Order: sequence, then C-alpha cells, then structure tokens
Amino acid sequence: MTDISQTDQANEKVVVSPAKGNVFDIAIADIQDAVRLAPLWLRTGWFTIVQGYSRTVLGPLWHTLGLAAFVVVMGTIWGVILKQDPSTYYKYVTVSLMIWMLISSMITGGSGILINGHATALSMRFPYVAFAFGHVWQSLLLFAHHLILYVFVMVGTQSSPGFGVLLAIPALVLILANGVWMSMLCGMLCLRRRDLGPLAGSAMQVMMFVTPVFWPKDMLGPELAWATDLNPLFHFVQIIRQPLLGEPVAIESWYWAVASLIIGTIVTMALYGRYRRHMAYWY
Amino acid sequence: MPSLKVEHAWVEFSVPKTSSPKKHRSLTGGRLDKHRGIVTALEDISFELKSGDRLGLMGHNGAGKSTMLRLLAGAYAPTRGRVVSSGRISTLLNATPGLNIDGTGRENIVTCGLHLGMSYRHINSKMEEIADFAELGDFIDLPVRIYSAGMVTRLGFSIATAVDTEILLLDEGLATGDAHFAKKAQQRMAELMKSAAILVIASHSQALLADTCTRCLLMEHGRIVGDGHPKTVLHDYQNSVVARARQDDEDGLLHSYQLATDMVQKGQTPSLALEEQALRYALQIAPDDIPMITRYFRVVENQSRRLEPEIEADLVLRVLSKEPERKDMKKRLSSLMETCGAELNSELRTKVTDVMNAN
Repeated sequence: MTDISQTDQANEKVVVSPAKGNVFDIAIADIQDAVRLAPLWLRTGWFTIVQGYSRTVLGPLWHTLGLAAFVVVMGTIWGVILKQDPSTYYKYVTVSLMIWMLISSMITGGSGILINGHATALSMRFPYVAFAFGHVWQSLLLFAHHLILYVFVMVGTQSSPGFGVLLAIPALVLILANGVWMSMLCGMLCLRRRDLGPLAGSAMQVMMFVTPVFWPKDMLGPELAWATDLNPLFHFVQIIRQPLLGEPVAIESWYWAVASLIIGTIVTMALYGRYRRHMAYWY
Repeated sequence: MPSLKVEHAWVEFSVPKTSSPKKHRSLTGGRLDKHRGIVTALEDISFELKSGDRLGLMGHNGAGKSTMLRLLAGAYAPTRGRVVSSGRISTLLNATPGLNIDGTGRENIVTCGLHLGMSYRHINSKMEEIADFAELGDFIDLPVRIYSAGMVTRLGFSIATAVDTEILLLDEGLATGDAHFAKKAQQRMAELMKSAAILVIASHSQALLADTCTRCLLMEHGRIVGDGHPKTVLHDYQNSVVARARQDDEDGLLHSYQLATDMVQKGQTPSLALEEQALRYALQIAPDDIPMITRYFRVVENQSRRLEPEIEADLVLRVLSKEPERKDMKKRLSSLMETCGAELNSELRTKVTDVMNAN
C-alpha cells in the first residue's frame, strides 16, 4: 500500500500551467516526472518489440537477418574492392553496422516520437521527454537482437576481443545517454517542422557513407583524416566498436562522446524548457 | 484539497498567415484572424472550481469545449494567463491515451492504467473489476484490433473511471455506448462523483448536464457567454440553438432535434420554438411523414405565425399526394390560394391547381 500513498502525495502537489521557473527548472521537472513514469515507457518499449513477433515467425529478428545478409554481401564485395583481409573485414562491418543502426535509429526514429504520441500528449499533462526515454530503450532492445549476430561472427572467425570488451558497456551507456538528447531534439524539431523527418532520414544515409563505417579510417589518407576526427558520430561508433573488436580506443573519442553528451544535453534542455509550453500547439 | 483555478487563460493557435485582409467569420470554431495568423480557441477564460463542484460545458461544435478540457487537463498550456490545479487528474477525452490496438484488452488495461498514473499493483488489484465493467467477456484476452467501436469505448471508460481520481474531466464519449451501457456508465459516474471532488463534463445532452451538474458554462466562439445554474444556462443554450436553427444552420437544426428528443425522453415538453426547429430537422430526414407535417403546421400556428406560402403549399401537396382524400388539407390549400396565391411561383401554382381541379 505504501507505493499508492506515495504516488498520491506526489499528485497532491500544486501544478501551475504554464510551468514556472527558468528553462532548466522546467526541463528538470519533466525529467523527474518521466523517471517516475519509468514503468510506463519500459513497458511500451518492450511491447513494441514483442508485438513485432506477433503474427510473424522471426519478428524483429528479420532486422538481424537483414543485417546479416548485408554483412555477407558487403563484406565480400567491399572486402575485395578495398583489398581487406576477409575475416577482419567481416568483423569490422558487422560491429560497425550494428552500432550504426543503433545510433541512426535513435536519430531517425526519434523524429516520430512526439508526432506518434499525440493521443497521450493531448489528453493530459505528459512529460514529453518520456517519449525519448521509451524510444532509446526500444532501440537498445533492438540492438540486443543484433548482438546475436556479433556472437556468431566472433565464433565464426574464431576471434576473442578479450577482457577489453567490458569497456563496451560504459561506452554503450554513454551512447544511450547521447541518444536521449538526440531523439528528443529530433522529435521536437520534426514536430515543429514536418519536413525535417524525411530530411533526417536522408542525412543519416549520407552520414553512413561519410563516417568510417564500411571503410577503415586510415584508408582516407592523411589529407582527409582530420575530417572524420571532427565527426562526433565517428567517435560514438569508435568507443563501442574498438572494445568489441578487442582494440584500444583513443582517449580523444571518449572526450568527444562526453563533450557531445554535455553540450547536446544542455542545448536540448534549454530548447525543451523554452518551448515546453508551445509543444502541444505544434500538433 | 483538490481545486482548479483558471485565471484569464487564452488558447491561441498560429495558422499560416495570408496576405488577404479579409476577415472570415464562421458560425462555429474560434475566431480566425488570418491576417495576424492566429486562431483564438479560448479567450480570456476565468473561473474557479472547489471540491464538490460539478461543471458542465455547453456550446455548439467548435465552441471550445474540448479545448477547454485539454486546457484543464494540462495538455495545452495557456498562451496567456494560467491554470492552477491541485489534485490527481483523470481524463476521458476523445482518445484513450496509450491504447495499442495490437495489444489484448488486458494488456491495454495495464498500459492505459499506467498512463493514467496508476501503479502496477493498483491496476492488478482492479483488473477484474475493470474487465467486468467493460462487459467484454472472452474478448478481454483478444487484441483490441478486432473490437467494435462500442467495445473500445467501454474499455476506455472502464479504465478511466477506475482511477481513484480527484478531478475528472469527461468529453461526450458516454453517448456512444448502447442504452444498457449508457445507464451503467451514468451509475458509475454518480458513484465517482461521490469520491471525485471535481467533475467537468462537456456534452450536448441537456438531460445529462441538468442531472449531474451544479454549474454550467455556455461557450461560444471560445468565450464564456453564460455561467450559472444549469437550468438558466440550459435555457440560454436552447435559445441560442433555436436562433441558429432559424438561420438554417445545419448544426443548429440537428442540436434542436437532439435537445427536443432528449427532453421528450425525460418527460418534459419542449418549447414550441424548439419543437418547430426540431420538426424542421426531422422533415429534412423524412419529408413525407404526414403526422409530422400536420404537427409542424400546428406548432407554427400555435405561435400565431404563418408559414411562407411556398413552403406551406409544398408540404400540403406532399400530404395530398399520399392521402388525396384529406379534407383539412384541401381546405388549407384553397384558403392558401385565395389569400396569397399570387405569391407562389408558376410551377407550384400549376401543381396546386391540378390537385384542386382533380376533385
């Protein structure tokens, strides 16, 4: 019974609409509300994935299977074109694509989170950031499916990343934290300007070829290598990819990921707090 | 102590600006100012509700009732002014938040319950009660996708009203269930009203509002134009509906009909002015219904008015085409021809003379 009385107390507080305080107060209050709603978005995210299995044989595993097909084809053709060692290159493409799909799904999928949540957002006072939490959680679940492929490829090529692989865990946490602000920001922008949704999709497609996902960074040569160093997505990929492949991560990549998290979160919170009261009017 | 206070709140939407300086004035909806690119959905709303208040919202379609509920729920933040609420709010608006059509009824009870702020434990303890109330039987374990619209409504209503709520906001909704469920829903509402401290309900049903509310707001173009005891406000509303129906407004006619039938069902007698407009609506649907036509003549004449000759002639001809031997209608027709036969158009006049000569 204790938890019921606690929620009662939480709801007893006076709610002023529009919320008072500076932009960060407003954003933080919503984040707290969204954390309190954790059972809700954990459940909806989980359900979306589980429902993918209903009336299909493989469900979300189709994504994994698609990824596997992609890896086989790309690994073979590009391995020849780029003159790479097949076994190393298979591992490289698998891990790169897994991570890329996680990052890109948080951004492109994030474009629809607010638009699709209209029934909820227009019926009650709802912390919009909970949509972002739910979406990141759902992306993580999909990523977990792809880990199966990772295990297969590592066993198939008879390689082990060693204990360094544990470093992928904090890296994943860092990426997910970045994913929250990325999907929130993308969701807000795409709610306001509906053109940005398709644009985000196309932009991420271009970025996939610009970022060293299919090709190793050193192939770019010394003249252009600096360009990839300025691409935060490259560093996001790097901090997980290297531990999963059993290779060391440059400390700069960690700096980049942490700096993106701090700057991105501050910018997103500022925009969120500033436009919180207008968002329902954008539907 | 639950309370709800609205202080000079405005809800304004921006719409694409147009360069044309024309100002459109529509019968429904908020006020649209295309030049400034703003639709005022609610304008300078102020009122205060305390524990025990049951507020009814009345008005035509687009008068701002649903927007008002969304404002009170906290979905829309007022663009000017503010809303201060204290207490747990539960809403039953057009859509059930969190409803997933691929989930089963039971799964949706949990998801929607979480949306409404219930805890897992609380939902599980109420699961059977909610399922029973929705009367879905074995359907409760099947996907909502295959439910009928009525079943979805019942499910949504059962969930929304299962929350221990202090402030309950309801939109129409209830009307969509069948008669049996509507009765049950009303009972449930009565129970809720004992526990819920504040109720706000938007409806076109006069009977429902008169029964349940202690206070009513009449809204028009996003403004409160009437505020007070349900009886007086309902009276004002009736007058505004009749006024709109007189201008041949489709909505006005329909609402007149709904109001009148509503009153008759409750054993009240609608005013002659209301009945006249209701009959006009009914005659659009069933133009050849003889009892209705004769009733219409009587209602108009009891208000010591006369129908326009063309309309009267047309209606009389319809009756005579079905029952050619009616003496009263023939008499009416000949007196019509004597007094104002010249005002009829030629086509109608030939028809009338044909019918009169046939005898």
